[in-house]
Amino acid sequence: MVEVKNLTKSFGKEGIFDVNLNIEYGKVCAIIGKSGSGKSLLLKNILGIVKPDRGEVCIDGLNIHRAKDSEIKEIRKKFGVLFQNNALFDSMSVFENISLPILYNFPDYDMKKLNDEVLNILSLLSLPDIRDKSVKQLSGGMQKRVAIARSLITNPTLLFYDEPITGLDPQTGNKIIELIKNIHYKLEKTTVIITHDLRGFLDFVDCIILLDNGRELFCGKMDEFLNFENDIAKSYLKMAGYYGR
Amino acid sequence: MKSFFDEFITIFGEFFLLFYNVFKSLRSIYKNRKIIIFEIFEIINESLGIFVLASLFAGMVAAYQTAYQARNFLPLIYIPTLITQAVVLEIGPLISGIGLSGKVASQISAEIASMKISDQLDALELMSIDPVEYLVMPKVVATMFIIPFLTLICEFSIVFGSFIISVLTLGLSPNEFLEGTKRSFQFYQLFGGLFKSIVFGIFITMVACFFGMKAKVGAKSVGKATTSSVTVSTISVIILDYLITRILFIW
Repeated sequence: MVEVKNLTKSFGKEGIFDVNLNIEYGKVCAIIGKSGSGKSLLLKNILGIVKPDRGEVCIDGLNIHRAKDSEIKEIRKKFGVLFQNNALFDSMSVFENISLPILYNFPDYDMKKLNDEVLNILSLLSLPDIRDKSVKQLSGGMQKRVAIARSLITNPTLLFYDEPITGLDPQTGNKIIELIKNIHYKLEKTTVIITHDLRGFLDFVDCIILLDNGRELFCGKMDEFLNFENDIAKSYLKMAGYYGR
Repeated sequence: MKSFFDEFITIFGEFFLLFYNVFKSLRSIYKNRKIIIFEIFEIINESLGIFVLASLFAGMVAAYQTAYQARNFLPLIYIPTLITQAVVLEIGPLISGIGLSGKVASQISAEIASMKISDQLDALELMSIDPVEYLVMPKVVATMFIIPFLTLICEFSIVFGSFIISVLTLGLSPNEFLEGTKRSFQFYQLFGGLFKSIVFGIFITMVACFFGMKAKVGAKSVGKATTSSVTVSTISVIILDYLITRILFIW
């Protein structure tokens, strides 16, 4: 379970202020807000990459910002992250990118087993045989899938998707949305989606956090959000094609 | 608002922390051997041609200038003696150091800064891969290993450049040039110069990686990181040169 309590990280007037949230295992949570509202900063705080000024982030009861290096390593094994711009290494092939966390941390890992695992994930993501291609040769949508594949290789329990459909054409975006749903249902992973576009996610999300200028405007269940009387919330719902019951 | 002094102390502290972390990650040299070998070839590929060209012309200029400045009080046979001394002690390590700052440091800081702004460093951290161990340490070790060879090549090229001018235009015979080169040359001086170059190499790579890792957001920060790393490393090479000369050769 992920618990965020009174989290504050500021850079002058910008940042995130007193954010609270709980993400339960097996659920799907969306963190929404316009660009610059602090979504990615919140994610980096949850992942332990950025240290907060105040507040805490507990993963299964352990505060990630106070944990020892060895504990942080253990906590991070639970994370799979799709970064906004994929964060793939363009000097490497698809296989090298996906298998990097295993190859580097366990140099004696059985190569045949690893190869099978990579091929399994690639087929789950309906990627054709692109194992040996350089990531530079791939389209934006395919790169996104390879980045998702890399986040899955260590079999994490918590999957974070930072702006998974930003910069993609609507068709490819829809395919990625379907893929995220597919992964959640098939692999039963806890899913956190950071987005400014709820399109395609309305029927999928269990809980939602709305950030505005770094402050939490709403945090609760999706049903409650659909009835939340707030112009900003309504504009997100409208954009996602929801006009009320 | 942080004062300039606070800022300076913070940067200094962060730099030494990076230095400490690189030192700590030396235990994984074997694990990163393939990356280190790749980096060595990358440095050779990036810099060898330019180093040789710059050194060759530096040697030619040195021969002309020495002959012109010393024409009234020094026999021509001393030109190779002076040049060899200067090359082994100063010009060789300095040219390789400044060349490394311009060509290799700029590339390293641009590469790491681009990785930083595209979240690749964060991705490494989340994969339990220490960016210092995976990116910085191999570059530092590769530079440390290759820069003495590059410096030797530079020194040879400078002497060869001065040989061409001395023989073709100043009228020295090849034998006279060789005799002049050998005069007063001490083998330990060569090691002093190579030691200098190793210190320059470590420092330049560290500075380049440091500014790359400090890049913030946007393409502009990549440019800023590159400019800062080239400026700081070039000035540092000159300051370090003075300090090492003082310690090794004068005290």
